[in-house]
Amino acid sequence: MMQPLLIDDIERVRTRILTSTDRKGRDAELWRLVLRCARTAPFSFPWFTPFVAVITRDPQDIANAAEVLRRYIGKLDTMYFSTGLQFHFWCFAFPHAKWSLYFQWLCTLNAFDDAEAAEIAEQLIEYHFVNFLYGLRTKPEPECVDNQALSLALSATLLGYVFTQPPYASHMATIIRDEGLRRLPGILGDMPPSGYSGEGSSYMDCVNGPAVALAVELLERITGESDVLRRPFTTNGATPYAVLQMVAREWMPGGLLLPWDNYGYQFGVRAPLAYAAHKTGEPLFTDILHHEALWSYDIGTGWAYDDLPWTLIWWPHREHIATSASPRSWYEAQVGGALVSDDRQFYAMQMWDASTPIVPTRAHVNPNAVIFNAYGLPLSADGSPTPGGAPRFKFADTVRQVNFLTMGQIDEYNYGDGCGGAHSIVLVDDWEGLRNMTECPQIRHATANLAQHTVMCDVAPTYQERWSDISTMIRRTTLCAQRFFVIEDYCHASAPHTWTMRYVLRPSFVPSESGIKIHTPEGVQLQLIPVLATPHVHTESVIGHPAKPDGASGIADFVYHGTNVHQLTLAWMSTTRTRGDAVLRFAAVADAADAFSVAEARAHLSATDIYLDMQLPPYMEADVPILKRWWYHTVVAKPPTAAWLQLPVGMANPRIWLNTHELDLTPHRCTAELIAPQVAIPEHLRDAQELDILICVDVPVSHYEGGGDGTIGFTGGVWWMHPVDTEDVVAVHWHNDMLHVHSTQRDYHVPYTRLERVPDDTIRHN
Amino acid sequence: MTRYATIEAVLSQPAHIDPASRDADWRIRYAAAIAMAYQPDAHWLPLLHDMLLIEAQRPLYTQPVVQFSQGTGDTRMAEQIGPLTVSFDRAYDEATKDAWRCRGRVRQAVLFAIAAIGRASPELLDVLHSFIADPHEDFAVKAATARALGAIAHPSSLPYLQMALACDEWCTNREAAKALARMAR
Repeated sequence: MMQPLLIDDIERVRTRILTSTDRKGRDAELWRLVLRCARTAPFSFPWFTPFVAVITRDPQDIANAAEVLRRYIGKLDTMYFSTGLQFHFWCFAFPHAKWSLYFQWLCTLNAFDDAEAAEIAEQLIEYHFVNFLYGLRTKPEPECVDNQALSLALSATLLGYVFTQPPYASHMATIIRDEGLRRLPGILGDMPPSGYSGEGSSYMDCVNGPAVALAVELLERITGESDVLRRPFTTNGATPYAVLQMVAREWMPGGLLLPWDNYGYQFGVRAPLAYAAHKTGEPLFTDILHHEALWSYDIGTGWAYDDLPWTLIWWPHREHIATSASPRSWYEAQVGGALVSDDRQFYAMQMWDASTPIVPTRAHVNPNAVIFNAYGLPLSADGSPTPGGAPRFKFADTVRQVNFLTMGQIDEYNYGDGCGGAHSIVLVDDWEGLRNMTECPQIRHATANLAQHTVMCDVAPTYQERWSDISTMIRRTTLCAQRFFVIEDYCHASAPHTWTMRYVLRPSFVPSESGIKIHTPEGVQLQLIPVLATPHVHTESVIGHPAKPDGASGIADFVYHGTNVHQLTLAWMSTTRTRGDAVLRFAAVADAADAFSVAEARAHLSATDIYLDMQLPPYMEADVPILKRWWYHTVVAKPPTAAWLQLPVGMANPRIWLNTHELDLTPHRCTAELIAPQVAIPEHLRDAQELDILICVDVPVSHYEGGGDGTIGFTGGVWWMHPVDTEDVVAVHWHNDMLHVHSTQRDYHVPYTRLERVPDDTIRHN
Repeated sequence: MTRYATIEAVLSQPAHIDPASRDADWRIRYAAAIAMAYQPDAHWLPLLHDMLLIEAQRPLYTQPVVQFSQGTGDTRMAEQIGPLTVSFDRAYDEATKDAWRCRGRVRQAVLFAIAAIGRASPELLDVLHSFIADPHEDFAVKAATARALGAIAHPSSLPYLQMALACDEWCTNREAAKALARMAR
């Protein structure tokens, strides 16, 4: 009997998954979710159906998956007329190869008769031959090493592998396989040794990570080699493991990925973590998978919404699950380093990954940029602007007209948001359009001592192309006392310059007695205080950059003049709120026609027998229909000090009433996609004994509602939030190699030696 | 014989290559060019030239803006499953629509075959130069042309490779840079 390819021991996988529901566990939650989606709405969640069919072997599940495959075949000819297939062929190659694999899976279940199976196989093979072999050969060899080339080479290898296994013997498939196999090892081996391709979290997470996992599995099967995961395919030293490790390192506490380079903040996918955990058992991967991954987030991985099935296929062995939290600080000499407090409340990442010269669209210009995160929430802003808005970072020389990706049209791109000014770096002479115009070294002297919680790099080469007199641009970030960060900047030139230490932050600025302070909608604060010298401070509120999470940001500039500047900046994070108990057991009803009035909803809710905890969209949490609009209701005792309610993240079109008073959720509309909103309980209800909570919310009813950017169904539940005494900074000074921080709650005295003494008179304050 | 079977025959039996290079179906011509690249020999060059002349007669790049039943036809279409339909601004004959499906695929395959052979007649070279000079040519063809010109290494190609080097599209300028470097050696 044929076995489904790329699944090790299908019987064992079936047993593990089918018995998972006998016990509690995240894998059981995930299997129930995938099964419910595939069974209740197979054509809205088509990417789950082949997997569900091979696991359950239920005739209806098999029939559904076979019909999905027929629909895929049915769209192939029409796709020829799309700009997508014609010019972005890598996006189509990867899902095509996946459907070829799933076709083989379904053939093991006898989903098609022989004639239909032969016809489908021929269509899949020929389509790849004329479209995606063409696409792979378009990519220059060997120097094209990115998510596109990797997708094309892997797709060729995968499809070719499927259709050169018995009972197939296709010359087209052999050519496709051999061409893919010829290029795939080189692409893996020529990735940067750090594992970071420079394309930002989106492409690392959604393409490179999932592709590398499949590539390892394929290469081990085709070549018979073992431990391909850790094999350097070229003298470059890169390994597939390094890519998966970097995918994991992009996760920040709280579950969002680093916003560096293209696209900005987003949630992470799970299959690469599951694969790495499965193969290595290392706690870095299992820890994230068990504690930070979301199940209600659905996004194309390699342009295929099958991340969750592969997560289940590669779910780590049970003996790896109970591992304790792993250290999350990391350092890569060519990329940067992250410093994370032991309790994971405080996080800073300093980056110096290489930028693309001239047109920094993907790999942005971020020499020594810092990203802050505290209490699991982002505090810095980075990414790309809101589409259609007036871009804050658009310069006379950063507009590019492109006519080679369309059929006769000219597209205009502004890549100003990829330039230095859009990042938390040191700007020189106010040039926000900072970028290199030639291929040249961009950094030197990167070092770290993670035991001492410090990372450092000199990025002077990035600036020397324009200012040859600049000799030093060092930034050192240090986590002190497991509580705060010090950003030390030391810039030196032979001629005087204006030096701007720029921080691009989430909104909003609030008054501060020293330095600047932001207060996020979730009540987390970041205060940046210059310690050694008093700069001129300028702040600017920006609308439309970046698009996520807030559609806005604040720029804080600390400006100095002179030949040198040497500054310590204290980065102090604090929270004004703490999470209390969860609000559980909501009565729930579907509003199938999206037509209930509040009174009608209440009437239905009073008669329902569905009770849910608002942890996931209803159909993922219980056996209920997949419908878009849902109402939830509960009456609960209000804790006396509760002043906010934290709602689930990812709610679509939410409305909420407290004791019949509707709250205005407009301010949370944008942010709530990525960050759980906290809504203030109105003053007149603060002393109420109990609260009547009524919520109306939409949930996704297919893979695709995110429009290609990922589909989020609400998750996380409802929680009481209480005010806390905030630990603020009262004073900070540095003297005799000691940093003294006096807060409202305690004093910190931290040994801190500056990098190198420079005469104070070289700094002229504005 | 079905098209699939014909392509399989072309790829496995050299005797099928010659007639396939003149087949009415572009996919079979494409397969013929790929088969020639696997067995590079100068005797294919007249056939390859003829194949480019066939392509020159086709309206490869005249497709108007179209409407799809799902989305806009961009990369999001890759993730979606059918049914999917396309609407044109008016009726077009099947030969025209087949040319739009094909675009530069046959040309690219021919160019890679020429690159594998490493030679070209002056007339063939002129055709290759015209691909670089044509602002409406697809980048996949321009990039393949640059690669072929590098393999042929004829001095008359230098200004065209310089033109390709200045192209904003990365695959094209990358292949041009490599071709120029090869010719400088």
